[in-house]
Amino acid sequence: MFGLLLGGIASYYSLSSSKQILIAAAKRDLLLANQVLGRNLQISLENFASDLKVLSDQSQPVEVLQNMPNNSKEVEELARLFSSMLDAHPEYQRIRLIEAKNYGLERINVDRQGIVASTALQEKGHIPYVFKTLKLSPGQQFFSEIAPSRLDPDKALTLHIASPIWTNEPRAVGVIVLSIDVKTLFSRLKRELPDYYQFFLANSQGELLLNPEREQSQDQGSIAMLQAQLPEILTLLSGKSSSMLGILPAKREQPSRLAAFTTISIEAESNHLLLGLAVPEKHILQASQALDQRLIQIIAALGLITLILSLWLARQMIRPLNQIGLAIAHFSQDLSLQPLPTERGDELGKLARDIRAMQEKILAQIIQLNTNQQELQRMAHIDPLTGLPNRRLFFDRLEHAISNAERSGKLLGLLYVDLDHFKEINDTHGHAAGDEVLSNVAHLLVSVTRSGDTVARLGGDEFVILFDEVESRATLLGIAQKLLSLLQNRLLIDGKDLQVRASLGISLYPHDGSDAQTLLQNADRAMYSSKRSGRNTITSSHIT
Amino acid sequence: MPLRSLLTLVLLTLFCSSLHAKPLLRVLAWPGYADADLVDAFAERYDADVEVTLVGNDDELRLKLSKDGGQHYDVIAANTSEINYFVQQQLLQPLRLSNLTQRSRQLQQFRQLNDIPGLMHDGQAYGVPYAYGEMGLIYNRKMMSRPPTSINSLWDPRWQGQVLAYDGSSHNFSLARQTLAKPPFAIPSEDMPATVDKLIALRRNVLSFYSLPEESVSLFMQNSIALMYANYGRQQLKLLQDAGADVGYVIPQEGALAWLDCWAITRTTPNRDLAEQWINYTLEPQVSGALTERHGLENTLRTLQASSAPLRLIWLEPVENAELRAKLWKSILAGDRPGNVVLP
Repeated sequence: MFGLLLGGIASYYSLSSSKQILIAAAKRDLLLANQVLGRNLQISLENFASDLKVLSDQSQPVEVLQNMPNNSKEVEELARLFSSMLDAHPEYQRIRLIEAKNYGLERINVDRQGIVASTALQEKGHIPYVFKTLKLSPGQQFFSEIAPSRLDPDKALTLHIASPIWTNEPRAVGVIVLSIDVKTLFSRLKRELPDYYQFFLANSQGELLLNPEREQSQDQGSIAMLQAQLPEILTLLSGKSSSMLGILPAKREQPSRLAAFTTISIEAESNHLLLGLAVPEKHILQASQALDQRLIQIIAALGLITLILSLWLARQMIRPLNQIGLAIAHFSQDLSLQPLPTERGDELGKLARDIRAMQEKILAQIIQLNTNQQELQRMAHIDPLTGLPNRRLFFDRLEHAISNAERSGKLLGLLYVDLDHFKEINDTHGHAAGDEVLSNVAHLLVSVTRSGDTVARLGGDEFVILFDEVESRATLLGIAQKLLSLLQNRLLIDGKDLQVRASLGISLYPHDGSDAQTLLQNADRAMYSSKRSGRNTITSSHIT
Repeated sequence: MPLRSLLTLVLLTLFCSSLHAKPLLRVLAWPGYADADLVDAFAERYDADVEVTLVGNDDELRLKLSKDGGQHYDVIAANTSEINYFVQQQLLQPLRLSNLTQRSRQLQQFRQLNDIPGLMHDGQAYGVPYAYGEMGLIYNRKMMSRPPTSINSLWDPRWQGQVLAYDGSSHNFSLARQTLAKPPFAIPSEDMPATVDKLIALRRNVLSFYSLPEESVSLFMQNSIALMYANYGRQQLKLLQDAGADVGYVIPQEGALAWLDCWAITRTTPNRDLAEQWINYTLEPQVSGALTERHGLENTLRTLQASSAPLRLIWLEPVENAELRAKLWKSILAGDRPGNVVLP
């Protein structure tokens, strides 16, 4: 999730920055296109001016204007020259030779329909291209303002360029006026541009001459001032800068547009044109929209992949972790070994293998511990020399047997055995022989008992036998007799033939005591009686 | 997906706002009648778009308003004579005077519509006076030692090439008739050739013709001008004085043509209420006052500043044939020589 978020933020930034880059590029393109267009226009205007200069430098205009006799030839020649120029330039609308006298009467007027009849020639003295041009010095040229006709908005937009004709007289004698159809000129220039570009032309007042908005909205040719839409344009109009970028705000039927404007000087003075190109912002963003979509697709795809990957990773990580956790829980509960992902090749596999090794080590140690404990337990109850139960175990068994006999009502028998003169054997033949004697006696004692009976060594040369079930005192005496007779045999120990005898004492439960202590004391007491009676004999405790 | 739903919301909002488009008021008026700041204040107050189209002469006004039955404008400003013409052309609709509450601010003489020729037709009012002025003469004090007294000065060869006249067909014909000492608004056809010749003579005597007041100012400042026929009267005087020209203003002895411009509502407007609000708005003191303070025009709320002598004003009246005047003027302005102006 976190990764997804990060990815989203990164994509958003790349998106917005790419949009910025696109807009910046569009601005550059627009400004460049506008400057190229402006340059083209400038070159066109310079060409017009030089064409006009060629015309005004001819000798015929002067001759025509000076009313030389028989000048009809010159008039004809000049009219032909004007015609051929009109033919060569589709944007040339009209070329005229106008005299200063006669209120600016036209002398030659050639338009696209041909040469205007001399009777239809008009007086143009009140029009700026005449009265202003006449005041110019030789070589200077007049460029008219381009203004839409107020009475006839559909009338062609015209730029008049005029040159004065000078002779030796102190004043100019006439002017040559070249009239240019601005719309034709600009439609030629505009052909070089993509058609989504809107093309603006304004005069030095900011009055829109070519207004793409008006073409669409069927407006009635009312005056539209560019500065009303784009106040920043005033810096261009006042001549403070020569080009600018701005945003033309959205209005009825028009989207918001990015626009570039350049001033084109058509005269040294303040007379200039404003050339503008505008691109709907939507159009710029179209390119970025494609990019947006692309980016969004990429982000979505990446997001999906990240999601799947993280789910898969979670699965891959969490399942073995769960397995390991479970295995550890089970192990600590009951030391059982659960399956572990030990076959994995990664860190989890290593962890699992380590845990398995640890579990095995713990198990081995626990087994060892149990064995040791069992050994200790055994050692606490067994006499190491003879392998017989010691006094403690014997008492356990006796008490156990008493409680059993209490319920069943059966008889228990105790036979106390103490070897006679064992100290002398020890002193005479050594401790090893003594130990050997004790072992052999132990075997002997065991041999006269049944499986349920217990033979124990109480310490030194004292043994005791617990008979789990005896029918009567007589039976017990019988067993004791048998044992005593066996003890009459000589023992071959360490190559020596030894005579080992014992004094025996008997007690019977419940007759000779109802608890272990009493029962054993009575058997012991009976045994001492045997000792006092001269040894190698049997005495039965007999309280009655 | 919160982003998707946000996008939808934004689109929906945009969509809704485009459905709920502002009403559009299209005003056809003269320079100074609808200054941008005052228009903006109106647009804000009534939450409307306002599109102002300015005209420079009556011919232009007729052309624009007549196109397609007047459906390109909602409210127009025209002088009483033109209002009369437009009513006859059925381009205007009667005003609901009860809705024009701000008329109560106007001087009595501008509220008595019955007394103003051209505004009432069949008992219905068609125009509300807004601004008025007279067409006097502006002269350059540096060039003319004495103020001109007569309109004839415009034809005076002494000032050849130093006169500015107005590019307006009807007024120029009336002007020519004044110099000929004939009734200005009715030219019998037998008198027409002489009037045309008089205007050709005017053309030959002027430096140039202007349409808009600003145009006259730049022509005046850039050329050596002694005398100017001031179609915009004191409005032009103020503009020239503001531009630093040393000029005087006179009403010629023949009298000055005077115009009273009125607001009227087109017959086809879809925004009659808004147009009425516009008229009310322009009669508020700060708007009407701007006519005088900014442009030197007279408004209908205050009494004319006491002049030294009673002025001879000739209120404009409907002319005998405005189309013919316009056609002839076009030919004269184009530079046709006397024989070439085709008379019917």
